[in-house]
Order: sequence, then structure tokens, then C-alpha cells
Amino acid sequence: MTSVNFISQAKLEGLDSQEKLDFILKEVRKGQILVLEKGLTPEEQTKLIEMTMEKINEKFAGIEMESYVNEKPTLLEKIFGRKKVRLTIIGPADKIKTIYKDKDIIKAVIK
Amino acid sequence: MAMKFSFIAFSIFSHVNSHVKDDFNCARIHLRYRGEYFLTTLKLFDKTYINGYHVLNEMGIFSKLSDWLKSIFGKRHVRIGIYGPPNAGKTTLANRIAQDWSGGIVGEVSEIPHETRKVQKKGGIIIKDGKASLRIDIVDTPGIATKVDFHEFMEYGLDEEEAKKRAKEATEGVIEAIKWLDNIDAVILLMDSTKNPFTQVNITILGNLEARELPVIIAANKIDLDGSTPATLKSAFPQHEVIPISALTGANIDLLYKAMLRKFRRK
Ligand SMILES: Nc1nc2c(ncn2[C@@H]2O[C@H](COP(=O)(O)OP(=O)(O)O)[C@@H](O)[C@H]2O)c(=O)[nH]1
Ligand SMILES: [Mg+2]
Repeated sequence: MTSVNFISQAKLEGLDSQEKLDFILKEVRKGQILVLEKGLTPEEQTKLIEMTMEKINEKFAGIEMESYVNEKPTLLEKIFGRKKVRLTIIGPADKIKTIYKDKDIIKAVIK
Repeated sequence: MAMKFSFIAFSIFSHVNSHVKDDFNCARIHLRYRGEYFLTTLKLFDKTYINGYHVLNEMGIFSKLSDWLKSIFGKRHVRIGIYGPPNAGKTTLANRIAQDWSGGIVGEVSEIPHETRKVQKKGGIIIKDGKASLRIDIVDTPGIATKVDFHEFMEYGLDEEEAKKRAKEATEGVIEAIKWLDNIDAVILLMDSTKNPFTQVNITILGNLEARELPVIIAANKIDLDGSTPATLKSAFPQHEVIPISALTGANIDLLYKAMLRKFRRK
């Protein structure tokens, strides 16, 4: 059975970027699917992809990750250097598959 | 200021030869200024990266330095990375650009994903449109993916050992492609216009380019195929310039060149 874990913003905010990504990858490699209330930044996404690539082997084929298109930052977000990152869903590639996706909807099936 | 500059220029001069990194006009230079050392990686454009202890920028010498170094090397390139998911047609496009403007090819094209597993470069290509011209280096990158399953390669007839080897190399290729984001000045993000554009790879690459404020053109490739819907792609990324092309047949490729001249030319 696969479990889906909804991770609150509060849980991840206590961690720095590296700890956050370590946590995510560890859970995913255990076979868990994570839904992050506050998604990863583009830089964190690429870092996670790099970390995933290092871990891929015969038994672990990588991750499926879905988030939404990043909207252009508003002026205020630009000034404060913070861009809204919307929810991200991450799971092991052999357990979760995206079947539909557009700007606002992610449909995924869990195997 | 003149004094300071000549002093620094002198100390650069003694280091420049041994620290020129590659054929891409990047020099790693140790500077001494008022008894302190600065390590800097200079790109010979208007953009300057500093890996040092101090920022020399405020002294306004970098532009002078890079002009000076430019006059030594006499080159002015824009390094363009071709990025995208596996099989979007990146190498096909890189080859077409090379063939149209300088002859020769950049790399091997294949229907099997992850054919390109190392970054491939071709320098000194000059693109022209009327009076306008642009000197570029093309950097063809391995496709970026979040997963690499060796079984997939076996479906293309590779035996298990080969498939596993290819998978390993593909994962290294993804990492290399990401690392190269640090070394480029502009990007052609290639997407397959027969496929859903909202994939994580597209979103992640675009998000990174936006965060780095790198100029980008999205090329919606494979418009020669039935089922190609470049309009979907345009509406998916309304804040970016999207050019529908066929890297294979060359359809619309002139529009891409015009866009590159417009967008990537340094002032
Ligand atoms: N129909 C069509 N096929 C293309 C086009 N561009 C590339 N291809 C094909 O797509 C496959 C992958 O191309 P390749 O350049 O190796 O993709 P890369 O992995 O992104 O470098 C090959 O079979 C190419 O012939 C195009 O514009 N139209
Ligand atoms: Mg390729």
C-alpha cells in the first residue's frame, strides 16, 4: 500500500533547503508520495533533480514531480525577492503517474 | 583611477595566459589590489562573475578590464544553451544552426531518448539577417528528466547491460546539463509541440531561467507532425516568446534566427 503524506508549510519551514530536499528524497525513496503545501522553488526543483539523478539505480528509477507553472512575480514579490510557489506533488516514478496536467489542474494516478 | 587601473591591468597581464579556461573566453584571474587578492572569473562580455572575497565592481573597472581583455582576444560571443526534455529535437536544432551558418554538425540525433549524454559545443557561429549579425556558441545539452528507467532503453532493442550503462550516463548527463546553466548567456528552450507543455521539466527549466534572468526563446518543435499544437504552447507560456519550428524540415527556422538576433544580441 502506498501512503500519501500531506506536508504542511510549517513542517518544511523549520528546515533549510538542503534538509528539506534530503527529507523529501528520503521519504520518496521509501515509497511515499508527498504533497507539499508550499512547493519548491525552481532552484530547489533542479537541486532535487540532481540529487535524484545521483540516487538512480536498478531499483530506483527516479521521481515524478508536478507543480504549477510559476507565475510572473508581482512587483511586491520582486521587491521582497519572494515568489509565490504553489503546491508540489512528488513521488517515486514507479508509483505515481501524471495523467493530465494544465495550468491549474494536476491529475495523477497512484499505482 | 588611471593609476589604479594600470596597476591592476599589469597584475592581470602576468596571470592571464595561464588562467584562460577554454575556448569560450572565460578567464580566471587573480588580481592584487592594495595588497589584497581577488579571485575573479571574467567573462569577456558585459557580464562579470566574481568568485572572490571582495566586490571590485564599484570601482567601475570591470567594464574597462573586459574591454581590454576583449581587445586581446578580439571576440564577442553569446553562448546559447539549447535546453529541453529528452527527444525534443535539441541536437537536430543544434545541427541545423551549425549547418545553416558554419557547416559541420554538433552531434548525433536518435529516436532513442538520451542519445546526447554529454554537453556538446560548437563555437564561432555567426548568424546574420541583413546588416544585423550575432556571433554565438551553441551548447547542445543532454535532455533533462526527473526519472531514467533502463527498461525503457531495452524497448528500443538495447540489451540489459547496454541499457543500464546508458541509464547511468543519462543521469550524469542531466546533472551536467543543469550545471551548465551557470555557463550560458541565453537559452533556446525546446519543447515538442505534439506533447503536453505543462511538464515539470519545462516548468523547472523556465523557473530557473526566470530566476537567473537569462533571456529565453521557447521553440515549439516538430510542427511538421500531425497532432502538433504550437498554439497550446503559446497559451501555456504567455509571458514568453514562442516560435513554432520544425528543426527537421527547417520550417520557420528563419523566424527563430530573427528572434535570436533580436533577443540575444548584446547592446
Ligand atoms: N518530425 C520531426 N521529428 C523531429 C524534429 N526534430 C527532431 N526530430 C526527431 O526527434 C528525435 C529526437 O531528436 P534529437 O535531436 O536526438 O532530440 P534531443 O534528444 O532533444 O537531442 C529524432 O528521431 C529526430 O529525428 C522535427 O522538427 N520534426
Ligand atoms: Mg540530443
